[in-house]
Amino acid sequence: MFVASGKDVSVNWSEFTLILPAVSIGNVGQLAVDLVVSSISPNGCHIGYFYDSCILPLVGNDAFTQSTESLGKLNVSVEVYKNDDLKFVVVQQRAPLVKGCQTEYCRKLVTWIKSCNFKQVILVSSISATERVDSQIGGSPLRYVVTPAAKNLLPLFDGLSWKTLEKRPKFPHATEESSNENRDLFLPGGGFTKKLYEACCRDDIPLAVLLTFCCEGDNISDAVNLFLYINDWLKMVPRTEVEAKVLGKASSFVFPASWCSMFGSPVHPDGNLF
Amino acid sequence: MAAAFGVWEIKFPSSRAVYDEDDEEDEEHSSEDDLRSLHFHRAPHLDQKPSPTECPLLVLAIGEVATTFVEAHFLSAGSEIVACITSKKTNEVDFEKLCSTYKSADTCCLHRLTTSQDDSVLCQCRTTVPQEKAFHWTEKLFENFKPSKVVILTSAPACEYHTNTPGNLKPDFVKVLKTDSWQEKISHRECSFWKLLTSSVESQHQFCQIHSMAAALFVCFTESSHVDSQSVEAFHFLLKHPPLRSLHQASSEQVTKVLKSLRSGKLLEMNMYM
Repeated sequence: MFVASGKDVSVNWSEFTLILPAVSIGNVGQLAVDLVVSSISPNGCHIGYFYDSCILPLVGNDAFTQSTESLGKLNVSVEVYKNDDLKFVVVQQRAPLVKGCQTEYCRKLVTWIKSCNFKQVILVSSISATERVDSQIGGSPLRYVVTPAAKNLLPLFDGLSWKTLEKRPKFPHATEESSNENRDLFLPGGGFTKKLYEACCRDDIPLAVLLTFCCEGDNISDAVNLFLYINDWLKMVPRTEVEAKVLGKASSFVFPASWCSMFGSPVHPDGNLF
Repeated sequence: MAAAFGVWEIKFPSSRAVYDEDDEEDEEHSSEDDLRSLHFHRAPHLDQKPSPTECPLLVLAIGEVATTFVEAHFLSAGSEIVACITSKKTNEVDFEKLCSTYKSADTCCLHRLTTSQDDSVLCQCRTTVPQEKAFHWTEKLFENFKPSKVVILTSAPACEYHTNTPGNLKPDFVKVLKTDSWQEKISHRECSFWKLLTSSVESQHQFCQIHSMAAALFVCFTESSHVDSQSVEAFHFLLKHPPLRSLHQASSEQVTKVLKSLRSGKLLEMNMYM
C-alpha cells in the first residue's frame, strides 16, 4: 500500500501522529489537510505514496508550489508527507475510493497503521449539516469522537471546551432516553469515517475523529475552521496568522496554490460567453 | 419535488465527494473481481517472448484524437499487432478475431512498427477504461512490458483546462504533465492547475510517477466534440522532438489518407439528414 519515494524511509513512527482526511461531504477533510501540509512546509517533506486498487487514480500539477515559473512535481491520488520537528506524518488523499471498496480500504489502512506503530491517529472529516438534530443546530459545528484506546485525550479536549459528537438512537422510533447500548454514531456524508472508526475500535488503535457539520458549496471557510480546530490542539501555526490571511491582511500563512482554480477559470474580461 | 397524489417528497442533498451510503453497503465487492475480468493476450507468434518484454519506448494513445494521430503518423506506414488487453478470454475467440474488432470498447491493441527494427510499442485505446478497472488494466500492461520511456497522448474538452489566464489560450492546444524521472525540457507547454477525468490515463501516469518511470502525458484540449484534423494535428510538434522523432514516420500521402477518412466519415453522417 505505502510506496516510499526515497530509498531510506523507516516506517517505525512510534513517536509520530498520523493525520489523514476522509473523502467526505464538501471535501472539507481534504481541504483542511491541504492546510496542514501547507503549514508544515518547508520543513515537511514528501516521503511517498499510497498505491492501491481501492483508490481511484488521479494526476495533477503540484498543488502547493506558489510560483507559476517554478513548475513543481506531479501530484497523484494519495501522497504522504512527514515533518520531523512536529512529529507528524500527513496523508493527503485527493481522489475518492472505488465504489464498494470502503471496507477493504479500511482493513488495509488499519494494517498499515499498525505496522507503522503510530502514537495516535487523527482523522479529519465532515458530515452533512442537513441531518442535524435540534441540539446540534446552535453553537459550534465542530465535534470530535475518540476510540477507547484514545480516551487519554478526553481531559485535553475538555480543557479546549470541545464537544463530542452526540450519538443517536439505533432505531428511529426509540425514545431520546434510550440507553447508551442502543445509541450509535450517525455520520451521514462522512464517507469511510464510520468504517475506519469501527475498525480502529476493534484493533485498539488510538484514533481521534475531528469533524464539522457542513453542506456542499464553497467549503473554504469550513476547511479553515476545521484546520483552526486541529491547530488549537496541535499548535502548528500561530492562530493570528491564519485569521489575518482570512481577513486579507498581510500574513505568512498561505493557502495552497491549487485553491486558486477550485471553481474553474475566471471569465475572460474581453471574452464573450455566447 | 412533487410526488404522486400531491404529496411532497423530501429529497436529501447528494454529495460530490461521497456515494450514497446505502448503495455502498449493497455493492460491496472485492477488487479481485475487476482483476479477473481483464486478460492480456500476446500474438501467437510472440507467445514465447520473456515477460516483461523490455522496450525503449511505449506510446499510449487514449481516445479518438490520440489514436487517430498515432494511426496517421506511425501505424499507417506498416505495423503488426503484438498483444491486446481485453475483457474476452482466448478460449472464447482466437487472437486474429479479437484484434479485428479492436475498435470496440473492451479491447486495446498494442502495435509494433514493421517499417524499422525498432522495438517500441504503440498502444491504441479508442475508448477509456472504466474507473474501477483502470488500476488493474495498468498493472496488466506494465506486468508485460517494461519500457524505458512512456509517452501518453490523450484529449479533453478545452473547458476542462483551468487557468488564471484563459484569454492567452488558442483552441486545440497541447499541455504536458511529466513525472519526476522525465529529464527532457518541454518548453512553454507545461500545465497549470488541473486534473484529468479519464481514469485509464491517470492510472498509467500515476503508476509511472510512483514507480519512478520517465513518462510524459500530452493532452490536447480541443473545442470540437468531433475528431477533426485540426485537433489531431495539434500533436504534430511532437514529431520533431524526442522521443517520437526517433520512430519511423509515415509519408505525407499516408497521413493525408487517414485524415481524409475522418472527413468522409463526417460527411456521410451529415448527409443522412440532408
